[in-house]
Amino acid sequence: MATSVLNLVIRSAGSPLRQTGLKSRRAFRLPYVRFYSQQNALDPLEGGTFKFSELQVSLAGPELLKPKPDVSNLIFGKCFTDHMFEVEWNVEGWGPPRICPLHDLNIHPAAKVLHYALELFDGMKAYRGVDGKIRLFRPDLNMQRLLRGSRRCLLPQFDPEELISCMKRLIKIEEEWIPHSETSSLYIRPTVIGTDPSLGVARSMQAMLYIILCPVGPYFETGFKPVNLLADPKFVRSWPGGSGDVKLGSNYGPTVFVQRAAENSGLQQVLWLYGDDHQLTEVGTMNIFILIKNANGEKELITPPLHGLILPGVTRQSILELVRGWNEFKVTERPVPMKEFLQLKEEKRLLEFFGAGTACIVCPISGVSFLGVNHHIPTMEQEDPLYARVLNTLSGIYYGRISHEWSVLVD
Amino acid sequence: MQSILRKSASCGNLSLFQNFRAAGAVPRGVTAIRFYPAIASKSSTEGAEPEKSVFISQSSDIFTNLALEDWLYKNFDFNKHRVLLLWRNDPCVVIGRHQNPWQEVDVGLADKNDMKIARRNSGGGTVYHDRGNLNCTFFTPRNAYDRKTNLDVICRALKRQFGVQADVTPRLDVTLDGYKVSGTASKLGKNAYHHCTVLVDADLKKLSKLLNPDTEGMDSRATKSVKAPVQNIKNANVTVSPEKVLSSIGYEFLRTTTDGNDGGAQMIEKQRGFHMINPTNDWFPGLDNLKAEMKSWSWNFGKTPEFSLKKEYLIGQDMDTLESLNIHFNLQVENGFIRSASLQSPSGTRNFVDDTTLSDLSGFINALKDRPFHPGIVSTFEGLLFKNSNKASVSVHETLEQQARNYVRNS
Repeated sequence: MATSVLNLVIRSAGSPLRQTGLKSRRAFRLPYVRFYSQQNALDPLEGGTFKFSELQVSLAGPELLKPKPDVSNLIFGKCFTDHMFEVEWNVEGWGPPRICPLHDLNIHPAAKVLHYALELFDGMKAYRGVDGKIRLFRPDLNMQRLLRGSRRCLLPQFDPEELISCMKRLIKIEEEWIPHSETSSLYIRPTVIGTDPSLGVARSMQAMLYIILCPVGPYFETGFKPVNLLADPKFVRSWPGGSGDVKLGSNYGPTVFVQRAAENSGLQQVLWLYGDDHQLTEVGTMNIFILIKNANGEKELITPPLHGLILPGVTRQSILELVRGWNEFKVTERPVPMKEFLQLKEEKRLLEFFGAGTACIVCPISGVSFLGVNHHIPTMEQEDPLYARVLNTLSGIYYGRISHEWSVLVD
Repeated sequence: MQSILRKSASCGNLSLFQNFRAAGAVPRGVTAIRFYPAIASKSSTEGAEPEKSVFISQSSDIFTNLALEDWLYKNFDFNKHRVLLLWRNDPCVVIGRHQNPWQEVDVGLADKNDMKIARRNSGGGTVYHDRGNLNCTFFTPRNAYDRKTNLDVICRALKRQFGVQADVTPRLDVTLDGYKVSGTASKLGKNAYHHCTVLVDADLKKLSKLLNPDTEGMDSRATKSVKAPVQNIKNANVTVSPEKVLSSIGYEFLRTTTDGNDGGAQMIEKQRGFHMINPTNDWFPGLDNLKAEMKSWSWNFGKTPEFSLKKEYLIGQDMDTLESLNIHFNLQVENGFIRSASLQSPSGTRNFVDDTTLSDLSGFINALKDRPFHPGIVSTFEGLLFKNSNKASVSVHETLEQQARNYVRNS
C-alpha cells in the first residue's frame, strides 16, 4: 500500500520515473501524498483567467526611462527594465491585465504576503539568439510550476497560455534591454502575492500577479569559477510534507542566514542535507548532479529524485532529458547519502559534482566542507567534462545555434 | 561571403559568428556580430502593421552616434519593426559624404574651439550640431523609404504640441515662416535611413561663423552646401525645448501608420514605445570598429574629393610695363594629401623678394609633397613670403596695400 502510494507520489513529481531502485524507496519510510497536482493535467481553473486579448498597455514616456548602464555594470537583480506586467485578483475574479511603467506597489500593511509569506515566484530567461531573435526556454514548464505553487498557497489559477502571451508582449516592448552580444539575456521574474488586507492565517482573498525583468550580462566572464560548499546537517532547507518542491519565497528567506554562515567560513554556497543519512539535496538555489564511476565501472549520472524535497528545476529536467537522449551512460534519479558520496570520493570514483539552475546553467563544485573536514572534488580535473558539454548544448539551444523545440520564439 | 555561409550551414554547432571568425572575415577586437536574416522584399503593407520604437541615444558624441546609426542600418531587420532614432550632439560640424571640409568649414576656427568635424555616410550639405539641435533618423526597409511622410510626422508633431505651423518644401527642407528649420539627407542599401536636423534652440551665431570659411582660390568638385537662412523653432514658440520636441516627435511617430496617417492616440499603446540606447561595444558588438572609422582622419578629411588651391600674391609692379607682379602658389590635394605643390614667380620677382625668402619658399614647397593638407599651410606660406626681416618687400607690400585700399575707396 505504502509502495503504491509512493509510486503515485513519485510519478506525479514531474519527471518520468526511471531507474529508481528499491534502495531509494527504503530511504523514504514515511508515506506522504501531495494533494495538489498531477503534472501534466491542467487543473480546472478556479475563478477563471485573465486574457491576453484584454491586455491594457501604458508605455513609459521618455522622461520615465532609465538610462541603460554599461553591460559590465549589470549586476544580477539590481537593474530592472522600464516596464512591468501586473494583474489583480479577488473573489470576483481576475481584473484586466496591464503592462505599465515599473512602479512601487501599494500594499496594505496587513497584507497576508507581509505576515505569512503567501508568495511564490519563478525564474526564467529570454535569450537573444545568434540571428537576433528573442527566445524563451520551455516557458510551459515555468508556467506549470507557477500554477503548482499558486495552488499550494491557495492563490488563484490562470490559463498559462494567456500569461505567456502577455509575457511575450512585455519582452517585445523591453527588447532593447537585451544587449546585442551573444552572451546576454533578460531574467524574467513572475511573482504572485497575497494582498488580502486582513490578519489571520487563512487564505488570501485578494492577490496580484506581476512580472518584472532584469537585464543580465554574461555570467562566466573569465571561464568557470568552481565553488566550495558548506555541508552542515543542522541546517535543513526542506522536509517531507513541507513545501520544498514549490518555489515559495518562504523557502528562501530562512536560507539567507545559512548562506552567511557559509561565507563566514570562506565558502561560496550551502550544500543542503536532509535526514539521518545526510542526503545531498540541493546547492544554494540549484539542483545537483553527480557523475560517478559506478560499481560496474561504468559512468553514471545521478541526481536526487523529485520526492518532495527537491525543487523541480527546468534546467535539471532538461539536463536529464538531454543526457538520456545521448544514450552514453546511465542516468539515475535517486537519493545520495553523504556516506556514499564520501566513499565514492575516497575510491576516486567521484568524477564531477555540479549545480544546475537558470542563473548560471551549470556551476562546477570543487570542494565540500562537511563536519569540519574539507573534501576536494575533482570536477575541474576531468577531460571533456560533462558539465561543459551540457553547458555548450544548453546555451546552443538558448541562443538559437542549435534549433530545438524547447526554444520558443518571442514573436 | 557565400562560401562562408555555405560552410557554416554544415557546421551546425558552431555559431555563424565563429565560422566567420575562423574564415578570417571578422576583424580583431570584434567579439560577436549579429547577423540578421536577409531582408525580405515583400511590401511593408502586407500583413500586420509593423511595430514602432523610438530609440533615444544616451551619447552626445557625434562619432558614437554616427557609428550607432550605421550599426542599426547594417544589422537591424526593419520589416516588422520601424525605428526612429533621436540624438543630440555636443557642438560639432557634420559634412556630407561627398563634401570638402575645407570648403565648407572654417577648420582652423573649429580646431581652436575644440570642435569636432565629422563626415557622415549620407550625401547632402553641411550642418552645425549642438544640444539645441535634434537629429531624427527614420529607419525602414528599402522599399518603405519615404522622406516626405517622415517630415510630415515632424510638422504634425510641432503643430499638435506647440501650435507651430511648419511646411515641407520640394527640396525636403522644413521651413517656418520661410526660414529653414530642418535639413534632410539619406542613405539607401538593403535597409534605408532618412535623417534630418531640427533646429530647436541652437547657437545660430556660431553656426554662421563656422560655416563661412575663406574658399578663395579653391576649385573643387565636391558637393557644395546650398546655403539658406535658418532659424530656431524657439523663435515661433518660446516654450519649446529640445526635450519637449524630442518627446512630441517620438509620440507622433508612434501614432502614425506606415502609410503616413495619424492613427490616433490609441495607436501609441500598440507600439513598443520609447527606449534609451547606450551605444557601447558591449551593447552593440562591432560598434567600436565603426566608431574608429568615423573618427579617423582618413575618413573625415581623406575622403575629400580631389581639389586644387590657387593663391595669388601681389609682390610688386613691373617698372617698365607697370603691370602687377604676382607670385602663384598652387596646391593639388588628393585624398586629403598634397599631391603636388608649386610656386610660380614671374621675372622681376627678384627685385621685390630677396633670395633668402625665395629659397625658404622653395624649401617649404618641396617639403609639402605628400603631407596632409590643412589651412595652416597657406598662412605659413604667407608668413614666409611677407616676413618682417625683409625690409624691401615690407615697404613694397605696405605701399601696395595702401594703393589697394585707396583703389577700393575710390571705386
